[in-house]
Amino acid sequence: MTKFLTHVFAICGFVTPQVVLAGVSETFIKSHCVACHGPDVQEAELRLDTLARPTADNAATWALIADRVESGDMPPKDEARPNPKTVREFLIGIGTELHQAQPTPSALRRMNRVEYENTVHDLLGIDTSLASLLPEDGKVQGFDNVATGLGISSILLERYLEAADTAFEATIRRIEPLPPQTRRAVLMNHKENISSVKAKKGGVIESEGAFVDFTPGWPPARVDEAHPIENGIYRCRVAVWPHEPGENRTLSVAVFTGPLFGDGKRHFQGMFDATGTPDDPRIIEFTTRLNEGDALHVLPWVYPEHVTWRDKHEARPGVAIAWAETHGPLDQSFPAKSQTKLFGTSDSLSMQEGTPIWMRHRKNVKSHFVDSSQPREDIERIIREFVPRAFRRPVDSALADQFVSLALARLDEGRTFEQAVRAGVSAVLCSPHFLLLNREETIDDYAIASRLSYFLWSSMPDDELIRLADEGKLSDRNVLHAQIDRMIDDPKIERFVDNFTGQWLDLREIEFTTPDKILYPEYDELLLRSMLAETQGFFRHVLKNDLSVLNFVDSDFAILNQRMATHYDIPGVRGHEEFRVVPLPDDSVRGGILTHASVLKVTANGTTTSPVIRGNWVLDRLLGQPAPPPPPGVPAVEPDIRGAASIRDQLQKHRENESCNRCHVRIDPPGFALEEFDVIGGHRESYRSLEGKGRRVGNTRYYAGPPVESDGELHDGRIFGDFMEFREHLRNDPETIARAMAKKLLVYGCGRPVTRADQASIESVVETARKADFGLRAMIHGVVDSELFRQP
Amino acid sequence: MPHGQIERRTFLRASAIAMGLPFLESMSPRKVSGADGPTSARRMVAICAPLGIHTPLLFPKTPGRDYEVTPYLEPLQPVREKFSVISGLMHPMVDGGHAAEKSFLTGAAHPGQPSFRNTISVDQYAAERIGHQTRFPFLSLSGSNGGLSYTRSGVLIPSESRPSKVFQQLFMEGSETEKAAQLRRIKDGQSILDLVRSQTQSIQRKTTRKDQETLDQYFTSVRELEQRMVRAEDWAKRPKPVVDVEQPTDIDDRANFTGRMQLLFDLMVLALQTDSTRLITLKGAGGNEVIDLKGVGDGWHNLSHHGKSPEKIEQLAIIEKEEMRLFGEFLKRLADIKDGGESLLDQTAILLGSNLGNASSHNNTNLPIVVAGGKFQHGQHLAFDPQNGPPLANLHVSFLQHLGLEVDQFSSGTSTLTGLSV
Repeated sequence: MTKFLTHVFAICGFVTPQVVLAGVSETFIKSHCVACHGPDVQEAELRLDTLARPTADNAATWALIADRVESGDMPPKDEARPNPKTVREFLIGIGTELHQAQPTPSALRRMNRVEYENTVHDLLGIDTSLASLLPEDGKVQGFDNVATGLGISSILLERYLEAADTAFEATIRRIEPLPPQTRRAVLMNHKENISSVKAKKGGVIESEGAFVDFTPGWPPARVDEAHPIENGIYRCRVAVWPHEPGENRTLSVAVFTGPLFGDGKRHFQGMFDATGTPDDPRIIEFTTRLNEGDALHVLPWVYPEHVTWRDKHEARPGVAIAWAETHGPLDQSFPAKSQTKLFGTSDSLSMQEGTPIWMRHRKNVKSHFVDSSQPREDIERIIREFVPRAFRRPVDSALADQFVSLALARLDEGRTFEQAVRAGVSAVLCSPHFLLLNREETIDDYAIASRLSYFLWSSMPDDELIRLADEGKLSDRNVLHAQIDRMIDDPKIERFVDNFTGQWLDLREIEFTTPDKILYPEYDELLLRSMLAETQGFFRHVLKNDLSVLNFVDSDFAILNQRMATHYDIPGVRGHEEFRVVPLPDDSVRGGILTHASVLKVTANGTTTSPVIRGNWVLDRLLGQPAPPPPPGVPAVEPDIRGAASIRDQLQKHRENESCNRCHVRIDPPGFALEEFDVIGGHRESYRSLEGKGRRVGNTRYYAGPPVESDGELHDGRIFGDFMEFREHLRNDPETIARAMAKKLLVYGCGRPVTRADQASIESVVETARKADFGLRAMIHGVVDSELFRQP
Repeated sequence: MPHGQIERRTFLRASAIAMGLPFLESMSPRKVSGADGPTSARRMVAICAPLGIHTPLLFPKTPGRDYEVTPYLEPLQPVREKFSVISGLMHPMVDGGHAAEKSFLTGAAHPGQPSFRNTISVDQYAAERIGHQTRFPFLSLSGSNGGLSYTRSGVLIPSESRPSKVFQQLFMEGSETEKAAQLRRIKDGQSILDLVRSQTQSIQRKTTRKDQETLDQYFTSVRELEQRMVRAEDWAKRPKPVVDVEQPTDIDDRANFTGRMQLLFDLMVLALQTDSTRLITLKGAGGNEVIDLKGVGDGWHNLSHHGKSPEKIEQLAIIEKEEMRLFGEFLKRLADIKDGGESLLDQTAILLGSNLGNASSHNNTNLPIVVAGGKFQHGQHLAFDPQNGPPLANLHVSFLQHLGLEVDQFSSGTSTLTGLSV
């Protein structure tokens, strides 16, 4: 139907269909609305029989009407329900009329800070952190890449100047690297470790010549001899094996790199299973950038937790660390590759020695700067080559001239060659032609290349996309769609996985709260990292395999490691390091992202769960029908963990108020169903309480609180007895789920707010995906094909 | 470069110097503002506690001047006549729990909603008008992350959480080479901005788009930054104020709440005392860390979600009392520093509050608010009806007027806050 309508418009212009559409919605309004919003009664002061057809002025009213009809609030429950097909036609009709009544807001926007960093990294071949120099970006409709949320201010521009300067500096290597060296630390040769063992600090011991650590805390396992003495890229290796792991326990080792002292600046390198034996240890290996003096922090993550005073039945499990080493710097280029990429390879260029630098381990070291024997020619060549790459399209020479002149003027003022290039490059990186996306008013192949790459890679197009644009081939549907698949298969798709799930599912907030230690003693960092990896892995799996987006509601598989499987009570998964596809038993409550611990954690606060917050979350994220904000002056429901009043009773009172009930009848039920899950995603039958009568639960310090009630009634009258029945209802409405997903992808993919007026684009994405069983990959193809994606 | 632009630039430079001149005097070592007249400097400080302040321990039951001392107001009693505690205020239509901190100084509606867009914060509104008077138009500090200051286009201004770095910017002269490099950067920046401005204009001219907002913002931002750079160049040539305090060492350990906040309060006193800036915002500390104070055994954020558990509230109160103690010390120090006939405290309008009225339920009504210093009527518990109180932005209007700005409205504020004006 949608496709049909869209095509009709394309053929007939807009006179005839408008009449048709107006007819559809007039009939709908006559039969379903005017009884309460008509000549006799005007509920909510709204009269629909005299409301003009959608125009720019009454767009908000029509959008509201459409929202209410789509969510099923209207017509009210006790009135005759229009059939779903009629509702759809009505919504599409209004959407199309709205679309014609007002111009689509421009997609012109600046890059957000993540995109800025990726773009500059890809452009210059550097990896220095830049996003942290820029202000946080505003979010609109849940995403930080939407035009209307990306304001520009003088503060921001000032930071762009600074970031450009930082980026330029990073392209040049100032001192010649040392030849690669292997630096190796044998832990039991280090005096701090020896004295830790002697003093039994934190219970550490020596076993088979290795240092055995039991907790991630104090004392640290020192590997000072392995610390690099110069900045660069290093291959790191650590030899470990499990010490007294006990039955069924896989010991995990987390490795962070960063300064020896102080938290905060450490980089997580991964979690690894401590397998192996003293004779044949597990060699952990990874390659990363390290600064001079950076330490490898090797931390045992032991789960199930062993409490020495309590768990006397088993020996204390720990991780034996024999040695650690770094090998590098691996990046030996001098001048640096990034410098060559920017400056080129002309014979006129040279590295000159400048000011001396004092280094403990090297004598007579001098900082270098780039010089040229033909500065004017080189500047011109460098800038002219750089500008089109930076602007992601061919640039007419008058525009490039401006940057060349700026750099040459610096030279004329007595600046050095390098300083002049720096000024020119900084100017390019602060130009609106660089920082603004979607600035083209006609969508040509270059515009398509950029839109694709900012959608799927959060960065500039690569050489292949630009080449295809040069050849004018991106207008060819087959080429275009082959490119989308290539981009999804490229490692850079991780940026999409990260940014999209980080915001759609709030995974960026995963560390916002820490669960209460007494109520949730089983929570540990291994679980935190694992839950994040589970959800990202799940999304990635659905994407790569073009599985149906309905898997987000319910799936017969999960992506788990041992820690998550234990958390979910699913047997047979060994090892924390590898996440694998695990088929779920039929009776498992797991399946779909609503049962992911990560989602359940970000929708809770560390101590309590709120059906209101979770309910709202489900309406917005999964159903695409967010509830309006509460009216002013309504007191919030205050949680009470003393074990007396249940949140359900409190909400029941709240709902006796009709103005509250209007929204809470939709908000609360999904929240009630999710009450089956605690703040870390554990499945529960009763609440945990800090106070209580009788005995504490097991060997914990909490009490069993009141039983969880997870039954409820959806606003349309369908009832459910528990979460699984609730999920069944969601699954039975694939259209709503697909439409919500399409809308999220359109917002993110087009970087613009999606409104009622974009109904046709939403429907076209759903239509494309329907043919592929609502596959996520198909949906992405659909977004690229949508009208919205291609509007200026 | 077109002829007209040269003229504008020259004009700007001339006017900046003219504006700057009187303050040269004020930059003499260890002296507060110019001692050259009866007009005293007006300043403001705004602090937001992101995890709330437990109001049952803050608000007195009795309104008026004879209010009883509550646990949290105890540490402020030495300056009782210099502050007021205010109950019953909120930003109308500002909800969304933690998200409401974005609107604490802006008052923008529904910060938790998907389509939220922020507006200018009260300090930035003032900075646009009086910021040019000092080396730094404003300082945005933070004890955690994020910040409180937002530009006119609703962009969050990055805050600084490292006292050592702020101290360096405020008081430390670089080497001659560094100073030359700094001036070179400013010069380069000016020529880059010149080019960027003309490019933006040329895109604007060519476009047939109806919504030019992005381009307009770009253009305005370039112009504003150009003006600031002219002033920066001017300031870069003048010596920084000399203080007989060592550069502080940052404390990375978030558990050391006292130490970290102390450094920030010290810095604020120094910045005000040397008239380096007159506008400061501080987003207080508050995260998951277990604060290193006797009796505290759980993460701060968890404690704030106390769910009415008495043990949790008890621990929470230990942290928040410490917060109030540090704030009290800050007020006392400002009261002891005299500038002309009055104290720094009298010149500085100070707000300490939170966007959360009740952290446990995450509501954003009946906010905890303490106002100190400035030209206000103090020594009272100003109690408004939480159901029917004036908007918090009325307080923002009061602050703007204190700063000497002729403003009757700001955000949802439509007048000054009743009961506070002298």
